Amino acid sequence: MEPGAISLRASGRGRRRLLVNRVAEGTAVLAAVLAIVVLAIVIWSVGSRGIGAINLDFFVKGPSSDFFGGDGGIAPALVGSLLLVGVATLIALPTGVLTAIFVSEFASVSIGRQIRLWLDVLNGFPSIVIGIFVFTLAVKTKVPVLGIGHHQSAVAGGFALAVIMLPLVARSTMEVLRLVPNHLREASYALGVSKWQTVLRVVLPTSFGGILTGTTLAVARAAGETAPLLFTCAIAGQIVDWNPTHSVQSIPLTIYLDSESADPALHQQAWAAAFVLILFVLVTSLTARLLLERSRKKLGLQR
Amino acid sequence: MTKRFSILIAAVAAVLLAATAAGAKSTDTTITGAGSTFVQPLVAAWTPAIGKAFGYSVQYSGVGSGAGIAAITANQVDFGASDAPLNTAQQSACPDCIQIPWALSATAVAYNVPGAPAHINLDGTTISKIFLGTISNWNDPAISALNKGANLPDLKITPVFRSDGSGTSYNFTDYLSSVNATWKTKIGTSTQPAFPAGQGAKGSSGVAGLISRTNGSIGYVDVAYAIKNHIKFAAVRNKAGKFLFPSLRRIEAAATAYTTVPANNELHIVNPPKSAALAYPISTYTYIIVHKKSAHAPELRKMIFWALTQGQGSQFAAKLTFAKLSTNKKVLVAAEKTLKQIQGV
Repeated sequence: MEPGAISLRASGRGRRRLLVNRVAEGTAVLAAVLAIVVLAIVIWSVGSRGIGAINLDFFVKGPSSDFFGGDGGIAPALVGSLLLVGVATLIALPTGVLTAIFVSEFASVSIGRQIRLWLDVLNGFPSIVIGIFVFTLAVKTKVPVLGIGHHQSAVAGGFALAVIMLPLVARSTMEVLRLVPNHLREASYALGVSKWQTVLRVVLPTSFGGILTGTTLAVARAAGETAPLLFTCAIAGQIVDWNPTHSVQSIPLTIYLDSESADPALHQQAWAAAFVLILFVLVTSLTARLLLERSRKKLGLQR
Repeated sequence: MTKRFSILIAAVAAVLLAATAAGAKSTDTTITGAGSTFVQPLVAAWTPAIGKAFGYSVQYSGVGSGAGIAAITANQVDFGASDAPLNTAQQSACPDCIQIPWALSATAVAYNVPGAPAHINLDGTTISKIFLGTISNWNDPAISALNKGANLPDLKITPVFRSDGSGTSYNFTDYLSSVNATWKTKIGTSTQPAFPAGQGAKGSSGVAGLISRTNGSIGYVDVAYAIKNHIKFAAVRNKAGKFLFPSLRRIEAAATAYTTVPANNELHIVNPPKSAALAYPISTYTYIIVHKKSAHAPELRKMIFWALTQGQGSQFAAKLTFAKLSTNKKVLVAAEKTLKQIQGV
């Protein structure tokens, strides 16, 4: 090296930094790849085991009433899961959205912070505890008017799922409400529109896509929950039942029960049901992402 | 934008309305039940026929006899089903519960021993010793003595039992207690006995599954589950000294050996006297348990009466190795008499 020339090669401390940088980057990339690989392996192994059981009967028939006969399908579980998630959404969506509106539009900063904190605590609650809570509240005791209580029901199960969905819906709605540009609100006020009308006609429609995203993600989460249903909606019959005051089957519990059986055909059904559930969650999550993208674009907040 | 919001609300309302309407239409009345996995295949076969006859559906959940008794006690279902009669504690927890025998079958002693002959003979003493863990190899002289000429392998025995509260466990331990005094004092008769050896599995299908997966295993399971899963089962020696397989005629022979029915319908037909020379010794009645006062009293009465009569028909029962209840007329009469106690609220 000629004296006075500046070397462009890193040396000493610089080289060490470069090395550390590479190692850290490599590890991060490896971790990211690993996460994807795990997902791929799960989907592939469940799919390859279950695909053989998937046919039309699988979706439209209940378990066979003939002990020595065919395998039947999981129609009661599909209908049951639909009912459970439907009830849960009906409870969690309005409650969650109203909570979010209160926190971001009306509440004082300190109260808003408190509510956010407690919603996060609720979000981290063990789901089995929520199941027991609802069992004590709506299964063990008689609930007047609703025609439920004293027995397990889709309403009770849906209520338990709603408790799980509520913080997810509320928190994600808060995030999108925060994204609504303040100048929209100010423009509305400037035109003499009252506060509640501004919320209803300007803020909510603008954040519609975001709210839908949060709800969809919460639905995907609730559809896969097993523990809250064990105490609230587990003693179910073998026939398709659309009545939400009855206890109904659900996909996660069907997976659990079928996988314990001796019958290899039922094992395959359990894999197939798991595959259907994974696909459902996957599709809803992807739809949610798309919706979120669209609403961001509309708000001019594209990243 | 507002339009889209109202469309969403309208859509949700429409779906809800449709669901409620469908619910109201498809199920005016539903009878719910839970319990025994032993009787589950039979109830599953009955369900479509009952729906056709009376226009209401029966939703039965095979959660095990113990859980079924708990469910009817806590009013979670309209009826419970158990292969074990209510014990004193259970009866006092549910004072207005009545039990009605509604089916009759047997517990098979099923095994999975590669290379074993299709016929294995066992007696109560040997079975109890196997489940106590004192006989632990298939080439044990006690087993060979019962199977002259059979070449049983040098293979560890794995006893398989029910881990959940089960009427099949009750039936099996009831039998073992009646043939072996050591069993009676050490383990006793119970829906959830404390087995000193082996592995547990949940539900009849769980036990059948574990047996078919485990070489050298032996367990007890309803005959229908053993047949369905292609598991061999043993001929068991009765008091008359005959080695018999569980079959309709052998179960009927056990049922006819008794002439009295107690007021609470608690029937024990295990290990019947010598005079019943052709009786399979591990037979059992299985019960439906209901509250005397029930919101669905008329439907329950109709359903149970149907089960006691037409439900015993060979297109339902015989196929699943359930013998006719009318085998012993006294039991049928007692069942029909008890049925009348179910009254509306």
